[in-house]
Amino acid sequence: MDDAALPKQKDSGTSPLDKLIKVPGGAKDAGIFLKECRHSGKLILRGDPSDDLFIKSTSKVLGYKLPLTPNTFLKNSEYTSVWLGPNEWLVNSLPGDDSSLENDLNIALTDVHHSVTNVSDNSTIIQLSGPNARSVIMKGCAVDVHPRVFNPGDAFQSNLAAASVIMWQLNLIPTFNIMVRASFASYLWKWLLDAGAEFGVQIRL
Amino acid sequence: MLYIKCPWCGYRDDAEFHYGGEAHIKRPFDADSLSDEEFSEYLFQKSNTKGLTLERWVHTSGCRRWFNVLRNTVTNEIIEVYPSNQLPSSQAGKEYYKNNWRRKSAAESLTTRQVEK
Repeated sequence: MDDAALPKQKDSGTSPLDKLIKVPGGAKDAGIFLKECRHSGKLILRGDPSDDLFIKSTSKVLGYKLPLTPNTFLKNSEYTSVWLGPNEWLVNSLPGDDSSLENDLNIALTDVHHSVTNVSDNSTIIQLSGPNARSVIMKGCAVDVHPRVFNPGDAFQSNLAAASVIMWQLNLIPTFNIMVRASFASYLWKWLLDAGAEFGVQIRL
Repeated sequence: MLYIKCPWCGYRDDAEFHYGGEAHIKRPFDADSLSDEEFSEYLFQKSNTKGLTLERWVHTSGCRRWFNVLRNTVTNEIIEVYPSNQLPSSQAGKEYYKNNWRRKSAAESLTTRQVEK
């Protein structure tokens, strides 16, 4: 594919969605908005939450205590930490921050039983928002995202249109971050375009 | 379609889970002291009950944790879900566990004997 045909990106890296036509635009009264959060850092952090030193050391680096409630996440301006299991978290950081965060965590946890794995390039994050975002998710996912049970701060791991995803809700618009394997990203992006067509889709860069 | 309650994530479709076979099969501590027949009984013989059964499941698409389930194979009713390192706590589960042929097998009595030491 001719690179000149691709939309100009600020970063020089490649994304699994680069080969798709992601021309910004679409319906003004769109029901859903799609955006790719390119190259954000993603670390898998594991450790024993009953170990006080583990919780203290990680909170020094992250700025808050790791979420211990299943299927929730916590965030500040720099880091989002998603509960993945009783001893496993995803730490999502700003683009380019992953190596320094990995280093900081490893230094802070030197004397603590832990593991930090950088999985930044394993997956990408598609941000889905808009008034009809829930309806689109409901077309391909069995997890209940109705606001009576699912709100900002909640997260889950499940299948969306048969693709394995980690999803968390950021705000009341609603906005969802959908983390998906790089190899499934273009499929899921196309599925979201198709599932959102009836509501109108606007693509943002 | 089963609707399984993962101990961490709550109710999810069975499409998100993988089946792990019979639960509570203890590896004999000192396998060398078992005869070939006794070892093959431990390794190959599986309970295939019509009715209650204790089995293992893993929440593959979710939290990827293993857990145990007490299920009725006739009605598909799930009576109990409990952590993989524990024994069933419901009356039906306790009885099934206690009366399972494996409790009297040579492999298991060896496991128990070693643990008691």
